[in-house]
Amino acid sequence: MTSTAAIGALIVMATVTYLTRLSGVWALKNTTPSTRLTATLDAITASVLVAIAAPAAYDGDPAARMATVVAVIVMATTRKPLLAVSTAVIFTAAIRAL
Amino acid sequence: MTVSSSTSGGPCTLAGWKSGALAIAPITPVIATFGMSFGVAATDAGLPAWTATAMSATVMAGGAQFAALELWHQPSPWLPLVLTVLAINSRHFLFGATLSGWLQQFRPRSRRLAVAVISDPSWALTDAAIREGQQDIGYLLGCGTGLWVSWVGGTIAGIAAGDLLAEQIDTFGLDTLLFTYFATLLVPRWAGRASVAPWIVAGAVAVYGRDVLPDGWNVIAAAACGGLIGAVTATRRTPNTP
Repeated sequence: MTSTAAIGALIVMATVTYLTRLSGVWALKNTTPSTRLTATLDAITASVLVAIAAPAAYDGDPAARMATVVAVIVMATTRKPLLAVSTAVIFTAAIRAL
Repeated sequence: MTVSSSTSGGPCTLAGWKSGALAIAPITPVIATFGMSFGVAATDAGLPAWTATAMSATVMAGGAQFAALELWHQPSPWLPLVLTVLAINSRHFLFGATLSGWLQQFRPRSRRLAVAVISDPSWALTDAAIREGQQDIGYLLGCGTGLWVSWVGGTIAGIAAGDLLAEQIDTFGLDTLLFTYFATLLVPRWAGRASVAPWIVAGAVAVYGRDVLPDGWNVIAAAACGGLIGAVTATRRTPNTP
């Protein structure tokens, strides 16, 4: 790709991405969320998080899979995301070093 | 929720910005590491340093940026580029949709800026903060600032370090940072039995959907299935259940 084409590609990517961010805000602009809509959006929210985390954990080595369980347990007991994630990372490094 | 935003908008304060920046601070190493892996991959794919840096600074969407690298060697990959970015980033629609009601109370200018920084972590943190009563759009902007700085900074570090870094990321377990982080975000959202079906279905669709769907669409399919189950079970509950 030439420099000119690269600049064009960057503008296209940035514009399309901004529009994806704006689209949901526009779509629900004049809607009063009903109980059902709220429940649906809640389920969608959790599903997106599951959908990002699950394939990575599924593809990972046993250490990575165990790390996910460790992170969830630490988070459930302490409610501290940083502690949960850093424990999981240290755990993974320790298992892989064995 | 229609709130008039003509005369005075909702608050946009420095204090709000600070609390957002503080909230995202603990996970900036996660974001920077992910940014580094993009910097390494972009250099590997033959992108000049300025292109990779500019892409992180203006697009700020990891999945789409990685996918774009696959198309970069073609002379004019416009249509596949647009479709790929659209598909992978279509989850942003869901983020915007969940924040829409809350965003309407703010002035158009701060709203337009805030929309630019809606991404997985900034949205997740802001959505959680709104549940706890956050009323300041500065919070989202603060999250976005932390996200942007660590994403762009990580990209530059990755370009500078090159291949040296790629192996160490695995050795130190840093590859698990991102998905363990999203797994921890799920914990406060657990709502007992109501969560079981949508979560299991979403996970299965996300994992196995990759075999049959184009890149990025497995997340959309998982969200659609999970949302559908949420919608159906909500109608079965009594009206005053929150």
